[in-house]
Amino acid sequence: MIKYTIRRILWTIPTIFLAVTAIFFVLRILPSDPASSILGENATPDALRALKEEMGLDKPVSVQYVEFLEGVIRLDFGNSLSSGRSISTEIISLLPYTLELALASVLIATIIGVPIGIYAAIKRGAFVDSIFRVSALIGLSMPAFFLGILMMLAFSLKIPLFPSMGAGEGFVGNLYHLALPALTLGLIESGIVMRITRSSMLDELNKDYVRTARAKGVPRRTVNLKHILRNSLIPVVTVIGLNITTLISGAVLTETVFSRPGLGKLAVGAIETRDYPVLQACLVLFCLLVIFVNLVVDLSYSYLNPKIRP
Amino acid sequence: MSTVLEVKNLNVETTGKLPHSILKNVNFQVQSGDTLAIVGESGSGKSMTVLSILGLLPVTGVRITSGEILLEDKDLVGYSDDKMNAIRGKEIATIFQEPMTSLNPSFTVGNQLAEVFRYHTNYNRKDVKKRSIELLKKVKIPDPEEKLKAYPHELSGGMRQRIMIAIALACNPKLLLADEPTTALDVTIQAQVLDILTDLKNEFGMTMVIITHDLAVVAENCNKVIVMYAGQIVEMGSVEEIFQKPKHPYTQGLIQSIPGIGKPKERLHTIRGNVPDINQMPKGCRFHPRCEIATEKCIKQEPILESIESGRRVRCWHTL
Repeated sequence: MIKYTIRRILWTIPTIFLAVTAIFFVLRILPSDPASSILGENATPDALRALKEEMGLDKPVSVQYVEFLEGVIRLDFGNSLSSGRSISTEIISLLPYTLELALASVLIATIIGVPIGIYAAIKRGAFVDSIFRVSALIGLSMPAFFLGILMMLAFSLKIPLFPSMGAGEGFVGNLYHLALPALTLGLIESGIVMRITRSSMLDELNKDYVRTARAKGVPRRTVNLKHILRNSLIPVVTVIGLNITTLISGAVLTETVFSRPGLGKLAVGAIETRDYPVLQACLVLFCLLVIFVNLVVDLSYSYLNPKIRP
Repeated sequence: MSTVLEVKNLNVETTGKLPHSILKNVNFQVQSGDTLAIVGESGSGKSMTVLSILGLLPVTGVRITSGEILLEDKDLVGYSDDKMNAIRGKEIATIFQEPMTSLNPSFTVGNQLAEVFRYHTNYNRKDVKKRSIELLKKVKIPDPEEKLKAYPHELSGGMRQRIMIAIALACNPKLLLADEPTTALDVTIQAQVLDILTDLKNEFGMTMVIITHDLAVVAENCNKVIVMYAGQIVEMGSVEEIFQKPKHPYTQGLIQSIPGIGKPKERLHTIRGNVPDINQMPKGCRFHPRCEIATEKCIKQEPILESIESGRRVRCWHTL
C-alpha cells in the first residue's frame, strides 16, 4: 500500500511536467504577441523592443522555457504586468477563496447527493424516487449563474438571511459569505452525485454477494449500507473528484455573480488585460490542482477496491 | 426420525393482473439426516423453491400465494423479514451456485465469516477468530489464519466455495440448502467440494437439500430425489428407485441423457423442446408437448401426484 502510494505520487511528476510544457507552448503559439497587444497597434518598434526585453520575450524560446520551468519549480511566476505585484503572492492570497468555495460545495453536494441517491435506489420505482430523479434533472440542467441569482433573490433580498456579495472577514464572516455561493454550486452538483449514487447502487443490488449476505441473516438495512454501498462508491468518488476539478476552474461564473475574489476572477481578468504571466500561472495552478485531485481519487480507489491494491 | 422441513402445498405466482404460476402445489418433506436432491432443468422452479424457503424471493414481481413452509414446527411463510433474519444463517444455511461472485469483493474472508457470528452469537472477537480458524480447517483450507485476511479475489473458485461452506456451517444449522454447489467448478474441484460436504454432513448429522441438474452428484451424495418440471414435482423417491426404475417419462429422459464413460459411442439421448415459459404453460400435463408417450388424455387433463409405493410419488397418466 505504501509502495503503491509512493509510486503513484512519483508518477505525477512526469504528468506535471507534460502539462506545464503544454501550457507554455500553447501560450507561445497563440497568434497575438503580448507586447504588441499591450501597447496597441500604433506602438513604435522601439517601445515594442523595450517592452519585449522587459518581459524577457526577446530571448530564444528554449531559454524562456528553461526559465519558466525554473520558475515553476520555485513557484515563482514573476510579476503581474497590470498590477506589478508578485504573481505568487497574489495567487496565494486568492487561492483560499476558490478552494473553500470548491470544497464547501463538494461537501454540500456529497451530504445531499449520496444519502438521497441511496434512498432513491432502495425505493426505486416508487413515487419518491421519481421526485428525486426529476429534481436532480432540474439541478443538472440549471446554470450556476441562474440559480445563483435566484438564491440571491430568495435568501438575500426577500428573506435577508445571507449576504449576496463579497467574501467577509474572519472565520464566521467567511462562512457567512460562503453560504449562498457554496449552496448554489453544491445544489447543482448534488444532482449528479445523487444520480450516480443511485445508478451505482442499482447495479450492485442484484449481485450474488447481496443474496449471500441476506442468506447469512444480515438485515436488509445493513446489507444496503455496508455491502452494497461500499461496492457502489467507486463511481461516486470519481464523480466527486471530477467535480472538484471542474468546480475549481469553473467557479468563474459563481465568483462573478457573487462578486467573490478568487482564481477564476483572476484568470478572467488576466485574459482581459492580456496579463499573460498571470494567465500562465493560473493555468499551471489549475493543472496542479487537477493532478492532485486525481491522485487523491486514485489512491481512494485502492482503498475502496481491494483488487486494485498491488 | 423427525421431520426437519416440510413444504406443504406451496404456490408461488407472479404479481400483477394476470398472475402466472411459478410453483404449483409443491409438497415435500425432509427428514433429519436426509440428503434430498431436487433435480430438473433450468426454469423448473428449483431455485425458486430454495428462495421461498429462505424468504428471499424478489421483493417485487413474485409472491407466495398459499402454502406452508414448516421448519420443525414454525411456519416460515408468515414470518417477517426480521424474524427470518434470525433463522437465515443460523437454522437454515445456504450455499449458492457462483463461488466467484457470491462473496463480497470489498471485504476480507474473515470479515464475512465474522458477520455470521455477529448476528447469531454473542462471541467476542477472540471467540470469533478461534471459531473462524476452526471452520476453515474443517473445510480443508490450508493456512487458515492467513486466509482470514485474504480478499475473495485472491482465492480460487474452489477455495471460495469452501469459504461459502464454512460460512454456512458457522452456526451448526439444522438445514443446509445447497443451490447447485458444484456447477461452476472444475470436475476435480467438484469432487473435492462434494467430499467436504459429505464428510461434514456425516460428522454433524446435518440435513441437506442439494439442488442440481447433475445427476452424477445426485447418485453419489443423496438418498432421496425430487424431480421438478415447470414448477411442479413430477416424481419423487429414493435414489435407487429413481435411477433404476424411473416412473415418469421426464425422469427417464433425464437419466438417459447422462453420457456414460466407457460405453460405446452413440448419439446422446435428448428430451426434445424446452421447459415452457411461465406465461405459456400447456394445458393438461405440463410435460405433454415434449413427452414421447403423450396421449389425448395428457393434453386435456392434468395428472395428479399419486402415491404408488411408500415414499414414491409420480405425476403421470401413463406411469412407466
